[in-house]
Amino acid sequence: MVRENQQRIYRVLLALLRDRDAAASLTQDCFVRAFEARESFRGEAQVSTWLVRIAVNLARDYQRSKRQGFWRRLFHSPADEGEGLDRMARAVDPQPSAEHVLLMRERAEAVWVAVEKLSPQQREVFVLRFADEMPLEQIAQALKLQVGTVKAHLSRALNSVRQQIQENERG
Amino acid sequence: MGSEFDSKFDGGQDEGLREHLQAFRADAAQKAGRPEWFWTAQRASIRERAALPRQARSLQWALGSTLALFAIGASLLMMGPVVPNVATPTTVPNVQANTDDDELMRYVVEATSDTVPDALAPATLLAIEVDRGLKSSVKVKGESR
Repeated sequence: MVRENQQRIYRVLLALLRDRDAAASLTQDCFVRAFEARESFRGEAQVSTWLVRIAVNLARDYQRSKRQGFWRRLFHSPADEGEGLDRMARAVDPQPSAEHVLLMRERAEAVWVAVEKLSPQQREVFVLRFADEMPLEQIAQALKLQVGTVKAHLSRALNSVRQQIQENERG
Repeated sequence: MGSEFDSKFDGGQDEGLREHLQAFRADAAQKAGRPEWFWTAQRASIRERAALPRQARSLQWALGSTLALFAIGASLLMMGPVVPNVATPTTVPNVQANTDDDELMRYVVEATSDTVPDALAPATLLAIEVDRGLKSSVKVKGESR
């Protein structure tokens, strides 16, 4: 169970928290909690969805304890910036032009900045959809929401992100 | 990535937004990429934590807290001699001044059990000496009569 899901849980937590140490620590907590609560798992959802639910709850608790300023501080972490995008651009094109790398970086950064401005629930839905590529039904199960509610959150989140990107491009 | 049903929630016809979302997705995945040793170490740590029953973990915490309290107590005890000694009132034995030797002995006892601050010690000593002088002169006068 751990081997199959740890990378996914870490990715979700990292996208939600933007903090490698916290994501690593909470990934561990997530599996330990799942192990402790294994008897309460009734198979209503997939194990991976159940784990995502635990991870999201842990992330909420963590953010609650950290309060605001968390995203802002971590959004401008120079250690993370660029590194992933360079590799990403190379994965798409083995010999990417500097211009292409820069373009990808700017696009991703624009989305991260827009995500920062979303409400907590919109952010969760957005991250699960676009960082984890989760189907809407699974997002609904993981967040204990109706699919219609997930769609509403996602629709608003996308509109907000689109607006932010457009404003960013104009400015 | 999703079904057709989901497509309008993936940027729809907005090509620019879709490109941004693809860049975001790829970036999130790349940033979450860690070396194999990281995942192995994490699995080992999870296994170790899960193997420890919850009660044992609580006990471990309780033991840790007790040890911490003990350490604080021990350090306070060790700090004891460093802390200024608070003078405790000592009872002066009631010595009957039958002779001059007894009287002298009483002065000695009073002087050694003195709680007067050091700064005022000369004044106290002077007062004792004056008092002693007055007493002896009264005694001499009484004897001469």
